Amino acid sequence: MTAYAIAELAAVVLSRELRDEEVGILGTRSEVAYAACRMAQATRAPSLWFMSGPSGVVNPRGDTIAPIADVALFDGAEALTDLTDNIDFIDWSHRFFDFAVLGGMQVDRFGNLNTVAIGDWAAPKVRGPGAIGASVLAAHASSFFVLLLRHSPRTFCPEVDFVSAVGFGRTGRERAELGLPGAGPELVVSELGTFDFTPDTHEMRIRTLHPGITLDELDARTGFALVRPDGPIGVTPEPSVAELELLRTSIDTTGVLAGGDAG
Amino acid sequence: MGTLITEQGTGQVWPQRRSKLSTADEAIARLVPDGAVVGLGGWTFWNTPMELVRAVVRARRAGLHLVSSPGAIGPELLLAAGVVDQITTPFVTMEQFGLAPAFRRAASRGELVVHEVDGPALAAGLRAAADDLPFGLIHDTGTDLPRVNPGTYRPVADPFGGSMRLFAVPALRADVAFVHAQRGDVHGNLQFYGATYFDQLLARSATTVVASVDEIVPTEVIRQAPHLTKVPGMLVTAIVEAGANPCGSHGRYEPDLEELRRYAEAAASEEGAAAYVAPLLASAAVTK
Repeated sequence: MTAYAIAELAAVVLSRELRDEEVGILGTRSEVAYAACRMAQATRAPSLWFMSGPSGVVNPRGDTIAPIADVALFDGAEALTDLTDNIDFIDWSHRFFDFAVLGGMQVDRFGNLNTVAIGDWAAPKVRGPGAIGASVLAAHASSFFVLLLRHSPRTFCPEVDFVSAVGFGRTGRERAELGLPGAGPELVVSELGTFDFTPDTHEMRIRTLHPGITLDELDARTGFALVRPDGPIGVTPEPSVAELELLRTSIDTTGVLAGGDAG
Repeated sequence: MGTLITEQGTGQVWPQRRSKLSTADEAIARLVPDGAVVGLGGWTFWNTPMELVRAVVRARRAGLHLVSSPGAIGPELLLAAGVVDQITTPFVTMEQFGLAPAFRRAASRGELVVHEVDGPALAAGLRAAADDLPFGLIHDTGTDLPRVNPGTYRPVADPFGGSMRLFAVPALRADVAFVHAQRGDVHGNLQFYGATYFDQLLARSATTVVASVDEIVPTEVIRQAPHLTKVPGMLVTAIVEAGANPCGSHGRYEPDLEELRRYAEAAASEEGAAAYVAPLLASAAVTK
């Protein structure tokens, strides 16, 4: 087995979830998600499409990982769309994106995300960057993935202080009540494991623990009670030698993910 | 203005095409009064018209309402210098160098009126202004934004009887928009080598537009590549030859990451932020 960084593991795990022929969108700091889309295209999903919200670049293809607004991603991309045009997909359309990959300062047991404020919004303890387009992508994309690697009781909390991107809402039932077109959060990937949501109550449920992580440690570092799956809890399959080689020799050749500076 | 051209043989003289070339300080003195609504283009570390930002600080403007694209040191510098007291933006970040320190400090203390918006509300507001409509229309996406910004997110019923949940958001018109492009001419034509972000919407919607460009080139050069002109000059009020540094400029130069890191570290404290902007204010004292 080859050693790997947690960001590399997250990229590989997400790449295995992405489906062929789907169209995805990434947000402003998406190094791990970018690597996952590239890996998916190079393996099981050759006809996957993805674009950057900020720059409007479609199917970028460099051999180094850069922030998704970065000009380094323009070379070799298949399109560079103007925001005046692509906001129709991003900010309005109900049907354009099959998936989005989102992050945040907090995620809660119903998969709601917060990038706005921790504490009272009017006098926040931590003022976050803002909601940007994640609000509408969480609502409209057919489903979304959450990458929040830092896993602590503060980041995985019972209820986010501010819903800037809706999962299943504060009750777990709000998507249906609002008539939102998307199905909501599909999978959460953290440094400790992967998590999905129960089909009835929409509560976050353990899917797998990453290698070497115990259930006790996961519980201690989570701010709410995670639902247990039926049957034994699996271990996240490790990246294969081939997957790591692909990642390191053609996508992340400068080791941005390996250096732990991403996401 | 300029020299008059004499048409040989007729004695008839015609005026020359008007130049919009300016300096940053002249443009700010003329177009940005205290209390103005200022739109800011670019995206985080790219294509932010930083010389125009610095000129606003040098001019010691007060009480500005900043309508910002997702930004980094652009909005940060204006906040650190204390020239802004209202902000409408979907995102401010110092990217890999952490949360935006001046934004965080001003918002946490309640010293800044934050009109909390997401991307759709900003885009719809700018589009409505560009189209001379009173409001734009967006979907209800189930966030807490309407709770903290009810003045922007107004629930409206579909007048045609549909059941979709919608918000009207008011037209958002800046008095002056600042954008940066890679090159332009004295008539204000702006050519972009990469992404345009919110710059086109800002230019279409604002009352006046001040642009900085890395290079002023002859109009004949502009004409050789008209597809690069994403903001035609009739939208531009004044054009300034100046770089985006320490931000990068697509296709010309990278962001100065060392300087951006230096700002992020300095501005972590209020004293550090004041020290960082002090040279700009000192240069203002000299020019006045």
